[in-house]
Amino acid sequence: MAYKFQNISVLVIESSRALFTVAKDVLTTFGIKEIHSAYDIKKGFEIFRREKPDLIMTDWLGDKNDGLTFIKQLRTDNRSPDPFVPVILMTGFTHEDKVIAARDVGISELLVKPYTALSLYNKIESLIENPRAFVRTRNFLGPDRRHKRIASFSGPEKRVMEPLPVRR
Amino acid sequence: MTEPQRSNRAELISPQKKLKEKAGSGGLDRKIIAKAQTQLESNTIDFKPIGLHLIRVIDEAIRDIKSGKLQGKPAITRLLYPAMELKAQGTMFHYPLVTDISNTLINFLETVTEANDDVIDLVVGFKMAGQAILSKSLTGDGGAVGKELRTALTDAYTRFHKDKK
Repeated sequence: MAYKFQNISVLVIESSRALFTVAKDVLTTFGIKEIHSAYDIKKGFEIFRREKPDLIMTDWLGDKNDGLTFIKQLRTDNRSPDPFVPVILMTGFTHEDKVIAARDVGISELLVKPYTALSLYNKIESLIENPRAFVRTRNFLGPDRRHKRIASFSGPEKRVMEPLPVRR
Repeated sequence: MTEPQRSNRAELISPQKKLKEKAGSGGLDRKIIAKAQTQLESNTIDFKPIGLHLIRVIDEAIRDIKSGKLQGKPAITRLLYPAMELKAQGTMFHYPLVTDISNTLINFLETVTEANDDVIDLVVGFKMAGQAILSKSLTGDGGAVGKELRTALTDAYTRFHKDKK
């Protein structure tokens, strides 16, 4: 038995057409048949609303951080058809402040460019097999950002101290 | 008078496992992943015009910085984005040397807070190296020339930090 990738649809938002072509070739080889494309966030959000893809892969999209704006929009905009859609952010940035900025708008996975077919597959597999619970606060909706416990934290909102209500 | 603090309690939500429901189980045959990698590596996209365009974007940022139109953190951000694109795309389109030197530039730019003359000199050095690699179509690791370029740039960044101490 193997993944039935032919059943899932993906929206790829890439500012570079060349990189979109590469991503499409890799996804097609994986067996994904329904691949939508957009080159900016306006078109991306339009396609997201119309096609309701099962997975979104987006680029950082320019020095105005449009990719992050897009992710924030799909998580919080009341026109978003699925605020819980898994999102892979593809970027060449790996510096801590950029990763934190991406995490704080609600990415599901970060795929570092240049990537390989295996690294892309691993991200998709992780979203299938180990989807993270979402956290909703006054200012945030996105996958749980706690990957590790910060022992030095002692504020009143340290969530490990009080169990959270779980909604299904 | 301060406004009373509103609660910021977090709600934990387990979303529907749509991907799992549709994709099922069993993973993907490693042969398919290898085939996808071969596909990725055998792309025939000509990176030279794309790379040279990104170098021009860096050049425009340098001009704006030198003229005083662009300063401080926004100046660094304008330099970082095209450098990141060069890093991201170089290897994917057969120019790993472009990825290497761009990565070194990004790591350097992430450590500075303003684009002063010394910083700009180093960015100009990067720009010239990038132009040379692309113009001479130095695909792969660039051989001896590539090694020399990499070393020269890394040494320049190291010297910058030493001088600042």
